[in-house]
Amino acid sequence: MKPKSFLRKVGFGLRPDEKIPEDPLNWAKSQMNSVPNLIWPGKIYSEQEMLDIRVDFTAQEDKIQKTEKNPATAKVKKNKLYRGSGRRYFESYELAIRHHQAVYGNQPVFERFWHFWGNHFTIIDKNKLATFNTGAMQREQLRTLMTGRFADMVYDMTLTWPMIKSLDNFKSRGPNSQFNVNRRRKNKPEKGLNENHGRELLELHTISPNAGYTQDDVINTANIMTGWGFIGGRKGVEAKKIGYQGSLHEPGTHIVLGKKYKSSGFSEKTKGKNQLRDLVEDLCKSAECRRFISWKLCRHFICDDPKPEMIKMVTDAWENSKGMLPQIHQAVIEATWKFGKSNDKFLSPETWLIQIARMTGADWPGDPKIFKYDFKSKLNFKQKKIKYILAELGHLPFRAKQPNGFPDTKNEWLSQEYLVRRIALINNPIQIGLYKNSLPLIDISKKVVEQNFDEPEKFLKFLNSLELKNEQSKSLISILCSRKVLKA
Amino acid sequence: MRISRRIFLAGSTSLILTAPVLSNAIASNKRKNNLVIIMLRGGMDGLTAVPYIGNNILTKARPDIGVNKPIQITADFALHPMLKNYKSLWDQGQASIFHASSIPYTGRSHFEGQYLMESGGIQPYFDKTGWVGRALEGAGIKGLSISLPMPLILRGGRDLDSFMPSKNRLPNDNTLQLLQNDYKEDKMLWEVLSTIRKRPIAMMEPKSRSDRDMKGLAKIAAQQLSDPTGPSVAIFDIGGFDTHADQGGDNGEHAKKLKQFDDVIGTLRKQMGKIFNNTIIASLTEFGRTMSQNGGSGTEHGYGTAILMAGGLLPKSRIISNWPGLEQKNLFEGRDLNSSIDARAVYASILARVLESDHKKIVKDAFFNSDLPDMTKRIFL
Repeated sequence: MKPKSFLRKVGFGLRPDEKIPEDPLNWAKSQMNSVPNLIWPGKIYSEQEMLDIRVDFTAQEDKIQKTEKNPATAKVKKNKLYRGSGRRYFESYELAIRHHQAVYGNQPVFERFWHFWGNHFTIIDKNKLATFNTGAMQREQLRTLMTGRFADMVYDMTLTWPMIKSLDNFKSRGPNSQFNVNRRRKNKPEKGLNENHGRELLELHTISPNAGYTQDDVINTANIMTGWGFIGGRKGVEAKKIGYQGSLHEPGTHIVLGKKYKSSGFSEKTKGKNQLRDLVEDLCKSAECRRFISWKLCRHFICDDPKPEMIKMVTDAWENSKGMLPQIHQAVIEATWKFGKSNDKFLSPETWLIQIARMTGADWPGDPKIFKYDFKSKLNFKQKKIKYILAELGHLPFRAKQPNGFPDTKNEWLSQEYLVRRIALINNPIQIGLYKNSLPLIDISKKVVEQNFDEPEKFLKFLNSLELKNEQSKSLISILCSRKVLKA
Repeated sequence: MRISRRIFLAGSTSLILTAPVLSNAIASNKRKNNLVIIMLRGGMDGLTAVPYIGNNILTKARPDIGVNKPIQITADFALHPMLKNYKSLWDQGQASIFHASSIPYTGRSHFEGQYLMESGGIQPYFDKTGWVGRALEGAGIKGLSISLPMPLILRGGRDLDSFMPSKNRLPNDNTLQLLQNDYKEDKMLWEVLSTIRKRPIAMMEPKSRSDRDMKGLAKIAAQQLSDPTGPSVAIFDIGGFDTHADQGGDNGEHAKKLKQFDDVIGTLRKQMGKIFNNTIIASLTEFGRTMSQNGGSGTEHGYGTAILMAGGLLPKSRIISNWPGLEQKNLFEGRDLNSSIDARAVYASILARVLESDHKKIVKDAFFNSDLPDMTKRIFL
């Protein structure tokens, strides 16, 4: 396909000063072999640090709720806690790291895939996970899994703290586990299975309903997953560790999609622990999984209704590499290069926002220095605007409402209100970091067209006509909300 | 008695007749009927919203998440205590519940189920339009979704808008005209922008944050529905009914969500005034939840649930049901409240009433000529 359109289809477009790569296809493919370092110059909080902050926060908030009866005092105490713990700060900070990387990094194609997987393994907006945990987990775990096998990515993502928390597996217990046997003996009501995570592992993360699994398969997947949850929590304080407890596991062999999963191991503590790994390996080896994930990748990058020949390039690479992600990603890139059409894919609000920031050279998401926070003051607008703007656009990436994540087609991303939000944002370009002392808007608009349109003539002519009519102020919206830029 | 009151109201709308724009409703000298669909995503538990109290079978199956302070409305059924506005409509003869019903889908996946509750079809991810959209297509009736996206349920209609209040301003129309020219080659973009440019001023003004809660949104919908030239259909979208853990009983997660639903209904009632008499509101969800609680004091994905209807177009308050019972042998696959009727039959009759159209035509337009019984008499007589 045409090179500049391709760069926006798999990446974020060219910055005003960026040279077009000589060999765009290999430029894109070579980005898949290594995990780029984060270029954010400020402090990077580890996932563990964020978990510590979170657990400390929830314990303190709980305490205020339980002990402080006077609503006014409770509010004051909570406000102090919110500032001290960064309750309103961390999501913006995490988003800033993510956008800084996409706008200024040198492996933008890798970042696009990272964003894709973050949405594939959605952590829903629940239990303050977006506030403290989702971003850090994606940075530290998901990102580093992208150069390995898909099966390892699935297994590790299944057992991340936010995933276990959001899909309730920590509450699931085998009906005949030692735990429930003991409860029955003591005449206590049993605490049974929770199907939530098991169902989504099959439906969303691996094989999709097209694989034709039954309710029994869902129940047995949930049985296999029993035992995986939090360990080491105490009353009033959330546990920080994910681990396996044999006493909660449903004993015996479980059948999923006709295959028997036996329980290995002799110790009561670890018996059955192997079953999840065995199951994930089989799910990821299946043709349904290959087809589903390859289709989803093609839909994300190429077009809303990917053709069999596109998908086949990816499933072939999957089979040949035995599910290695770099090869799978490279096949998606090649399929895009070979079959992609210009302006055929309507971009999600976040991808569009990052693209326009990168293409205009806007000061986005802002100087990393402004994100320094004393954990005492009220956040200023510059610190919270990234979160505010993404919310306005309807696409806060850590806050999908349901575990199927954000949608990925034009029918779902194009509505009156979604379009209003995009136009209104560009109507006030200061918000995205195009200040009064930046280049004139008409020059910025021209540069975007020259650098990123394969056939810039018509649009440059249009911009010149605006200049003649002294209507330069209309130039930026005309370009950044044009159908060429809304689509890639 | 009730019918004559409605005729009186219809005759007293001279104010509307003076409105400058002619729509079908005005041209034919009639007040327009309104339909409000409130989508409840995640699987609304019909047994929590409208618990069965005929015996203690339900409370036994749900020791930790039972509704302890139900508001009794019939010998066998009660309302959840959060449904206060709904209860007052019940008392005024303007609320009916269709219990033990579901869309024809038993796969228990949210995303397939939600797709089908909106598309009105039977194959997930297949039909690209929604049942309300198809019913509106050609009828010359506007539809409004109170949401950022244009939900599938309305797609296929012609005069659609999606709306959520925002603080930011659009540029002047000259600038939008430039974009309109650019969108000529993309039909969908072109149509979306055309609607935006035709929006009433009330929808263009910057709105504060408080307009974004459920009551604020319902207020906007009420304004638009009350406008004789405005939309006749409004769609709401409330998520979070998927309570696998800590579902709660009188209070808690499911209760909170039911309260949002109730807030919408209460606000519409209050804000629409007389227009409410020509309105019907109905809930819509992808499935109900299991009869018994699970390991985490929640419930799993189930099948049958309740459709909560309200509005002056209903002739009286009642529970309509072929109640299948909650005994083990009566449960669907031994675990879920069964569905005694295809929910689409209920919605088809609602559409027929609101659009004053023939049931057969609605079933053809909106539901692919599926074999749906005519429920009009059971709901509207």
